[in-house]
Amino acid sequence: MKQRLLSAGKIIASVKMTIYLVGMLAVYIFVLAVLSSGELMDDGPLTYVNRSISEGITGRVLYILFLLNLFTLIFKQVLIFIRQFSNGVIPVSPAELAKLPDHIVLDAERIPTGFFERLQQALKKEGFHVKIVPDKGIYAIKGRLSALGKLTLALSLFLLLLGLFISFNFRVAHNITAGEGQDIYLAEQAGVSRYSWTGGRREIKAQKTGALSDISFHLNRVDDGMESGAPRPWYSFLAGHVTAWISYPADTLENEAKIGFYPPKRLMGEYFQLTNFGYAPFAVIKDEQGQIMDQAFVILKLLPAGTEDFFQPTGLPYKFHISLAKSGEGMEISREPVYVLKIIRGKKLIYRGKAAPGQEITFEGKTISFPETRYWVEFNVISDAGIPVSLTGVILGVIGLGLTVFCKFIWYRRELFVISAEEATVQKIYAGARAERAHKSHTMQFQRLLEEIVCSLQN
Amino acid sequence: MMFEGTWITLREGLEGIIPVVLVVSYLRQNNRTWLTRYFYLGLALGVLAALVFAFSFTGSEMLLKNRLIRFSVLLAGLLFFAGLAAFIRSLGIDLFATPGLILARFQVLQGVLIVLGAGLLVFFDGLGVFLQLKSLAFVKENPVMVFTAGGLGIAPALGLGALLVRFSGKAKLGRLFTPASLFLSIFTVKLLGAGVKGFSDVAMIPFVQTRLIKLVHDIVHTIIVLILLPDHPFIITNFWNFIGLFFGEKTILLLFFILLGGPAIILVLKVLTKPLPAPVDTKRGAERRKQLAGFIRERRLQSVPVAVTFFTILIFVIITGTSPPDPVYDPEPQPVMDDGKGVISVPLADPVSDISDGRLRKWSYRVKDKTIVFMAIKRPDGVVAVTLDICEICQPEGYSQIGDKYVFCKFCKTPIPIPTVGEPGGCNPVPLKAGVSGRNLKISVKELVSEYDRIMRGK
Repeated sequence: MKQRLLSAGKIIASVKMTIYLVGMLAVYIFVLAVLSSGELMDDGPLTYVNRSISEGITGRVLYILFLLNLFTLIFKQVLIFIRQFSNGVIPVSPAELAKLPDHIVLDAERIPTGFFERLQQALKKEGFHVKIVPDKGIYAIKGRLSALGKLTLALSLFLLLLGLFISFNFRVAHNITAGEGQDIYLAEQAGVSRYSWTGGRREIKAQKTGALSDISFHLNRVDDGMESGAPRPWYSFLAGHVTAWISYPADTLENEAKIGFYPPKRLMGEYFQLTNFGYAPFAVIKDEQGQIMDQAFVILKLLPAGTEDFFQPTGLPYKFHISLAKSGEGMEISREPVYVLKIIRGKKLIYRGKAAPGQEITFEGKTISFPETRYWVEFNVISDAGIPVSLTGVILGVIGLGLTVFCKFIWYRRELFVISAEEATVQKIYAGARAERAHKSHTMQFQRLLEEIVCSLQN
Repeated sequence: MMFEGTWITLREGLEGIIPVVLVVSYLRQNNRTWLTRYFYLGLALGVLAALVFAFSFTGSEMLLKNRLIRFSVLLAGLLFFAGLAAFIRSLGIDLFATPGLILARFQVLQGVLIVLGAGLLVFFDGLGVFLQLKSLAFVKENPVMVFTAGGLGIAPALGLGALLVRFSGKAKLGRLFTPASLFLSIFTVKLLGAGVKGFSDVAMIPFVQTRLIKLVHDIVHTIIVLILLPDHPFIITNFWNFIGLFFGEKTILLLFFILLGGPAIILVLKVLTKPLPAPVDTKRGAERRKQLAGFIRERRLQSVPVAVTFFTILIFVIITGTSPPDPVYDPEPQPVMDDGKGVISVPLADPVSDISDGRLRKWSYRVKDKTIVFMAIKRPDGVVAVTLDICEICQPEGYSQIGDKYVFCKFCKTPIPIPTVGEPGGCNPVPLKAGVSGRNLKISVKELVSEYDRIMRGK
């Protein structure tokens, strides 16, 4: 049973299996792409990869098997790495040793007493870490840590691929617009949906995923950051300075947090970030008697400055077109902006002029004023368990890259083996060597070991 | 021109005989001469199948040529991966050990495989040639003359092929090839043969490069989405320009070179550093040296075909990289008016608006206080794609055309392959519903304005 398990493990944890799985996945992706679109390679290759491993069972199973194979390959290397540090084990058998490029088999009448101890002394002088297995052999190694960089890199690749798989399959995103002072309960919002990774070509319908439904918060205020004077970031000036202050959960307001555009903020187990910002003037419309006909905060897209937006109150035949008025040298973001207002009834322009904060504009016997302006922001709330996995992968990748370069200059692994075995009543000595890369000093070391063996046997 | 048909068949014939000579000499050299008759049978069947298909086909030839390029890319890809698999086998990992054993046992299966491979090798090229001759015959209204001229072209190619096959046998050309180098050499011939100027106006290399651009673009996009970077509006232009470097023309050319030239150079190094076999002990010093010199000479000879492959790809990349870039074409929008019934009609045949040359055309329509620019381009599949000159994400700088393969967003520099213009999503221009009636392009004002407003409001 143990042997069978070992054989199965060897098959799974093999490079050959990796090639097979990648090949099968490629064929599946191609077939799926052709069958689903009826066209050959119309989209980008990554689109097909994404689609294949996030839709349907076959692609997912193949990808999971590939990840499993990758994991077992790494695990095998980790085991080897650990064995190099452990005592009492020679990591190759005589048969394996006979396959090494540098090896020799000697016949010996008998193994002299203290033979391995003598070799151990000699190798220790050469700076090797030597392990001895009584009556069986010795294993000497130099540069044991050289595999560290490559192992870290392999692990980083595994984590990145795993994180991508989780993100492709389970990322749920919700985009919501809120004004200052507003309470948001995501459970009451429609449109929470699976994230569309492949762009606009594939519509993903909103699904009841259950994710994000517990999220609620109160938007306290938005800081336009105009006075912060912070240096310009690599994302735009405006976005770089806008922050929103929220309290959560909306019922108890126990915690407060600040959210910006980037990096996203981790709150309530999810990622929050701003994706847009703008003005929401409070519009008050009164009739001839001064009675309020309608009043509301209206979310308008007036940025970048110069953009015009409009609103049309229900039951009134007017469209109110608004843009920001120039102030001073340019158009500044301000809590008390002056608007350029155009009022249109049907196709007729009935008013055009500036509207200062609180100023009542009269038109056809009615008035409109904007006594207050608040900011609105658009939030992206994202639930994605793959992000920490992928990010860990990226960080490990950077570390692994550094370690690999460092290891290349500092260590390279050299191993020497001497094993004694009795074959058909003949005592045999197997000696072998392997190194990470060919090096003259390694060959010389092996030669010296052979000389030491011959010398010890003759004595 | 009378001899246009001759030139087509001569060019394709010369391109076709190179793989034939290589395969036949390889089979003869490796004691598989009996397979050559299956190979010739496969070639004949492939040409016959192409002939029958070309003359019984009644659909859109342009569409078929587009598909042909895709199948040719697939075939080249198969050859490339077959080369890689053969290379991996030479490293000691036999990916197809069991099928190999079955093949070795049943010779008839080897014959069937050779017939299929040979048929595929000539089918797509043959189909392209016959389609071109068919079109030429239709245009010249003289099929007899066109096909006679075609026959005149293929005859010298066949004669030269026969001579080369005979010569290659005498020169033992086959000993230069390992399975890996054979596949890679045929792949290079196919790629460069159909690559620069393939069937009609459709070529293989730009197709592969387009997919590479899309792949790199998608990878960058996926990373941006994965790390929750806010999308376009809040990233400053300089940063986008930096990101754009990843899928710039030169980067893609470099990637193209690494992908195709990389395996070739690894193979050259592998062949040149192949361990020399141990000389037989019984030989005297001079004989041993002679034997070793023979091995070294053979090693060098075997590296020649792959080195040729590598340098061919290198030269191609250098020529392409140093060629002047495709000119950017950004036409001035021509003002248009509606017909008073809510329809804009643009004549497609006048000198300014004629879109049959595959060039981008733009028109501007003024409604109230806004100017809406829309554009049209004739795609390779013959469809006239009509879109707004606005990117839904990066608005409102619009698009230019670069060369005859792409339009690109002037804001983020994303290249958009012309065959995908008219499809929604990503940075593609916003598609409009329009119809071609007679020689006029017709579009409704309502459709134009509502789409424009929808995009400008971001709703």
